[in-house]
Amino acid sequence: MATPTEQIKELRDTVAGCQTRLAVSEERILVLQEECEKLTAQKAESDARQAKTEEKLAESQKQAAVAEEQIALLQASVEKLTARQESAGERQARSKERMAINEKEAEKWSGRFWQIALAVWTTAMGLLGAVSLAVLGFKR
Amino acid sequence: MIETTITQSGTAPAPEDFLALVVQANDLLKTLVESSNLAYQATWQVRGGLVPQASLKLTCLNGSRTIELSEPQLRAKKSLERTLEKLRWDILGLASAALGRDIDRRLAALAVEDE
Repeated sequence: MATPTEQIKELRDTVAGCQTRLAVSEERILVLQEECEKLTAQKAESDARQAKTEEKLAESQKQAAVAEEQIALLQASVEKLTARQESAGERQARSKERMAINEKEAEKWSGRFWQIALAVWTTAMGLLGAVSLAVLGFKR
Repeated sequence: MIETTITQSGTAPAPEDFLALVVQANDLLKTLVESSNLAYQATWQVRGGLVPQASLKLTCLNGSRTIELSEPQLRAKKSLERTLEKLRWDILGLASAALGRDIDRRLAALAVEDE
């Protein structure tokens, strides 16, 4: 059985050991607190970066929507232009066709005109000859 | 608006969870372009094997581009969103360039007709 003095010494040793462990724990707590603060700051930075990225992404999506709208308008204009070009081409083709028909008609009529003129001239000469012969016969 | 197709290619079938990731990525792509006036087509080809892989071909007007995506890339949603957004911009760039060339061609044809 330990004497009271020994018991007191033992208790003092225990208290000293506890105090040492407490000091170590406090130190660890301080280190951990510091780590925790660093991590909190990093998390805040990361959150801010993430928020910025999301903001940029949203902005990019808005701009993409505007670009898409403009491309769609451009595409519609190109389609209209194609339709106009096609109708202009068709009109031009029709006009060329009409011109070709008109030219053929003109050539045909030009040929006929000379045929008619020749026929009229021949008939007139014939008649003139006949009249001349008749007049000569009548005089005799 | 967007038309999408997902097909499997190669002999080894892709695992179910990988296919589920592709479907999720496809849904994300649909959300990105759902309000667009332009017609997009997305074609996914999924390959199985040791390292499953998915290729995505996105087309709009005359612009088309293909990217390859692995499982980690399909899992990281934010990063995937940025990749798809970049792909969309690439396609828009190609589409507008093709449209520009088309207009130039037509203008050149009109100039020849005028001569």
